[in-house]
Amino acid sequence: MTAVKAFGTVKNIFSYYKLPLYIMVRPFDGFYEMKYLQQGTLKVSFLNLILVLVSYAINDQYASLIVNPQNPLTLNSFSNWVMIITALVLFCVSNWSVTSLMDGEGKLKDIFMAMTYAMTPLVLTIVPATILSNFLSQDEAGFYYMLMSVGVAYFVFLVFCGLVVVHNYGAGKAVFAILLTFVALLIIVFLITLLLTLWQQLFVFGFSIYTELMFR
Amino acid sequence: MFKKITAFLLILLLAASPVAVLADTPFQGYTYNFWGTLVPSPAAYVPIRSFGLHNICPELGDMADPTDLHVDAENNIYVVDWGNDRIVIFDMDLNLIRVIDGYYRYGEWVENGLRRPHGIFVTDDMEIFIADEHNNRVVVLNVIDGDVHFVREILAPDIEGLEDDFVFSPLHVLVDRGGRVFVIVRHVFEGIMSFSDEGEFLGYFGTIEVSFNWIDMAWRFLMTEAQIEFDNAILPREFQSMDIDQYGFIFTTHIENWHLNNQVMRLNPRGEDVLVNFNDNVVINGDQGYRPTGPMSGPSVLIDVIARSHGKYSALDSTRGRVYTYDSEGNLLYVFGGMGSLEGMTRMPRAIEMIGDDMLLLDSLGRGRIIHYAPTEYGRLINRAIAMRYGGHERYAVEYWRQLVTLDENFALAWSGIGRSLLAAGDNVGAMEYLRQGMDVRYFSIAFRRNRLDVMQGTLPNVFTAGMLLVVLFVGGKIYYRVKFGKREEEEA
Repeated sequence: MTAVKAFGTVKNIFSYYKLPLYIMVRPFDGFYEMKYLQQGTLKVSFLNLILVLVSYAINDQYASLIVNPQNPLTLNSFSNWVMIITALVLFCVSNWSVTSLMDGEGKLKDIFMAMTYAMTPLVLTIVPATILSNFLSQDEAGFYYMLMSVGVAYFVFLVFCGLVVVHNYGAGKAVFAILLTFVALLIIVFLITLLLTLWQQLFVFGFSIYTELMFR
Repeated sequence: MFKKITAFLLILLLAASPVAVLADTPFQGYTYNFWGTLVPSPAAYVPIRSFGLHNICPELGDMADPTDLHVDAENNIYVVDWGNDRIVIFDMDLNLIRVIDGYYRYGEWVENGLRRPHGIFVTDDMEIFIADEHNNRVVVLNVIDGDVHFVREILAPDIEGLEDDFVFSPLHVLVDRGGRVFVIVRHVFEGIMSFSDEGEFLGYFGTIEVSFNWIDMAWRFLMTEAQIEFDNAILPREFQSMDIDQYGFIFTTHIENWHLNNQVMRLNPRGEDVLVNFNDNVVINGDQGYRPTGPMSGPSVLIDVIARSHGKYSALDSTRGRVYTYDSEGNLLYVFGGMGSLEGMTRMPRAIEMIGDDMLLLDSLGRGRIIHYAPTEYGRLINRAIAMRYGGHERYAVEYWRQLVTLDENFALAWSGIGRSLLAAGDNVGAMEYLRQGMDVRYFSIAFRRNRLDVMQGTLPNVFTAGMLLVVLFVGGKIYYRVKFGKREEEEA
């Protein structure tokens, strides 16, 4: 019920959720409204993100054996969530750091909102595909994979549109920015690993001094 | 409460009792589950004895680097004693039958006729084919009245494309039912050399495809010309060993440089690989996981393969001394054997061969010996169940699968076996349950489809009837209203 409280009434959720649905049909107008007409809200962003996470967990748990041969011993929705959120945050941050050097107009909030608003196709396809999978045999599993990949492809397309609108780029520049984003992403991951290793070295150094002092 | 305590004590007693077969086995059996993770299992085969040539006859002495083992149609055992230039033939009770180190050629005795023989094959007509490595030929011998006679020999083929310094060193030899002779030759990468029964070169058979490797390509890109010249050419791998099954298909092994490729091939008479593996996550190359460094590390190197009854085949790993047995669907049935100096373990395994349902393993280290493995109750049940399944008698196999489940609950094949038999019996729901346990996705899908049809046939008539009723009620109601209030509508109009 907290979700409902945050939006006021149940009716309000639907009125808030109109924009993500509108973005699916008219991506450029929708993202324009989201950013420049201040129609987008972080509430809807997080609602969309949570819906994706939940549908991902539902898919992991309930998709049929034929399309989802999960080992129940290693099934862990939480670690999947951590991975999705990490990827999302990393992408947003690296995109922001690249585009702020490339005259991009989007703020970090705008990028995050564009990413999450673009997730609507995932919300709309994953759960139905999961339900559908329980009625399909191996020969018909193609329908499941088709539905899933349509969702993902549409998500990628919307992300692209969103970034174009949010940064006020042309298509070519947006592609270039996305490529650079992946480079920046790798650099960030590398720096994090480096930092962790250094911290660990430092810790070991401090710990050995401590033990030396203890044994004196 | 008291019951629980007694049960616990009983379990303790049972665990401590010395009857357990596994405790005496020097190795742990295992297999891989659907996801490619290791699942321990009881030992399917246990070593029951090991013997050297001195156990057969003290005058024979020891083996010196023996290379091959063969069992002929009369269950005689042939050991190729490479270093001593001889073939020793004996039977299962360790009675010496014959030692081949020379032969009569056109009536003349040839002393020391073999020089470093490496491989052997005996046809059903008792013709002995020997890959005579240092004599650079394949020699065919025949035994008449206890004397060994020379029949013919296959020499190096005179063909284009071979290097000038090419030496014909045959390592393994095999003859199919049509009399074609297949020879694995050292440093011949084009495939197995095949000859007609007159010794005429027919062509290469079963070439191994070179797998493309991004990392190697990247390295080559960075290398200088001189380095590339120094580096090994990217060549197909050499065949390690081969065996022929009852249908005339040839099983081969080779070393793979890519861990997702099978090391075993099953070549049809045209030389195409037709090996079947329905598992997505288990490759037919021995161990799926291994230590990267240290003793007994690295991927499995399958140096010998034998075709067994009912579509089964076993391959020998020289890195860890284990024998992997697969069924005709590519399922890993059981693994046994291992490296070590305990009795029944190997240190330099070279070859395996089946004699009946038992397995002989040739260990070439030191004096050389042969280890005799016999199936346990567990292994025998698997063999029988697979035999039944292979013959299409799932109904009779289920009895063995059920026993196997009581012996080893983690054995997924047994669960899917029960599921398949239920499917054959028409119990789709039960089959789905068991097939899910056994992670047999293919058959689960079949059971699911049949069950779906049943459910639909059961419910759809009712759904349609209900739908029809609703439509009739709706239309009837409309007509009723129109009849009752029709006049008023007309008046209004």
